[in-house]
Amino acid sequence: MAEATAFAEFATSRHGALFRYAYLLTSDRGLAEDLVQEALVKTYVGWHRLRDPNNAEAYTRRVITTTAIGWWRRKSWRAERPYDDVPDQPVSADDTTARVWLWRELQKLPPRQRAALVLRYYEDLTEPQTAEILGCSVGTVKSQVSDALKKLRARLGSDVVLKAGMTE
Amino acid sequence: MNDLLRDTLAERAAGTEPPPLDLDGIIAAGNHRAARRRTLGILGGAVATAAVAVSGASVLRPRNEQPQPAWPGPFTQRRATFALGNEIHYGSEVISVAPHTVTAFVQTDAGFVFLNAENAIHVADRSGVRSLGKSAWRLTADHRGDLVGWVETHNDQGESIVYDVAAGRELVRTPIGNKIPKYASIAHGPEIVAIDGNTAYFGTLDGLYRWDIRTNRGEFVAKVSPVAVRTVTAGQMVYQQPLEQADTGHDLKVGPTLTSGNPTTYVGQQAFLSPDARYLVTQADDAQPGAWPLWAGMNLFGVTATRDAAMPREYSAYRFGQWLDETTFSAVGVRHGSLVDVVSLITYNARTSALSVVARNFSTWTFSKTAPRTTPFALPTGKPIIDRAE
Repeated sequence: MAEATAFAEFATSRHGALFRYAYLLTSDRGLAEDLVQEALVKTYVGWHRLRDPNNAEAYTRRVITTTAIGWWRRKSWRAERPYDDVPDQPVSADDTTARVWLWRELQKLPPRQRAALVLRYYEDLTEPQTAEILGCSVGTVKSQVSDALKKLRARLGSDVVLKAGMTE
Repeated sequence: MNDLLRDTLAERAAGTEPPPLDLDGIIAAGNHRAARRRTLGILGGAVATAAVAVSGASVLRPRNEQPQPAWPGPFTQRRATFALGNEIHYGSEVISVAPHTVTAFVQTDAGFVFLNAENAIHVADRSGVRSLGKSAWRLTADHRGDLVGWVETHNDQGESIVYDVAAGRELVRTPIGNKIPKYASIAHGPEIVAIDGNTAYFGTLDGLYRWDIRTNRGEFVAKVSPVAVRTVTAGQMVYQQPLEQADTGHDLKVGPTLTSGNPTTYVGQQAFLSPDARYLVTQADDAQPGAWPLWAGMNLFGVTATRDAAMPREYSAYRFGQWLDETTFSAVGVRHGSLVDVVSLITYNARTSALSVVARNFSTWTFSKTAPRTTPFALPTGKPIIDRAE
């Protein structure tokens, strides 16, 4: 009973944050909802194996990430979708248009690279923490982030990159 | 630092409102998954050892321990519940079982078990409905736990079954006591009288059996009618007086054995003991007995508790639903309407006599025109509400 209560408290308190993380990975509310639901079910089933409940969030994020990558491989949410809010060219780095454009470009990245960026730049995790969730080495995290930023810089153009201070 | 990237991610995250958390659904799915894993583990072990035990007339499926869910089941809480058409109203929550129509149902911690119009057994929970591929006339469940029981009737015998809803497997299946004699006219078919913790009581054609579900072995208790004992709760049996009468009497006694216990007799036919056997609710088998004698109404008695007051006269009749805890039960109250009598779902506290209306006028006190003449709704007693009048 105490464990069930602990899980309920964890799920209730962290659901919003986990959903936002899943949404940043997928850019799709429905998929994000499914991901979080699936991840929380797995966390619930494995709760008694989590020696420290404080590990639950990291465990759940890892499940979200690996499940998302698995779905990405098997399914078709990378299929082309319309982006009504995206102009043809980024106008200004100071403008919200730049963020809209960047959001679109983020979705074109491979899932591991996108996950690495979200974990590093949204969740503010360290490289070792990011490596743990992605299930890879710190070196791989470094190369994934580096490759992702390189692609974004190339796609967004030097004007936006420089104005936004988007350099390593 | 990469401010544009941070701002973009933060802006998108902040602009996304999380949906409501379906904690019950998560726990239900988790329990279902955990139970399936345990079952697969047990089956794997069984295949590895290839051990099958068969003993006498009983097909033994021994188990060392009753499977327990890793977490409290999703329906552990007993709420005022009724079924109407293809919906089970579990408190304020509605569980659809479409396209089936519920004619009888019981609640277990793992889900609801119901009979549809063809008497086929189904399990319903928040993840959906699944057929067990079996059929029965009535269902029996305990006040708590995952077990449900029923009798399957074949041409030459009946089989008593105890099924674990959480684990999705049968724990007991035995034809013991239920060989049907040729050319026999049987007044009452076999029934699962009660599941009381780890003990099941089988009302067989030969008499009453007490069955240990953990060891899958039983003992013969008494040569009585299959329905002579009405229920068993907390080790207390409710049985008819006189005990040997073939038809159902309407005087009942309560005691730990069929020859001992409280000397008080209680009027009624169907019996529902509270979880700790302090209170007893009785009512008639027939939902609409013509003359409405004293024993025909729903009666509440104190077995070990003091209970003097009659049910309040706010309703012209009551029909029992389910004990929700040690003192409170749900029922329907019948009230005369201008065109047709209507029913409301109520809860009633046996200790304080507090009556609360949960669902006002949710259905009608009417009966189908063809046999069996049943109400449009069902309560979680495991059997339909029937008007036996011709």
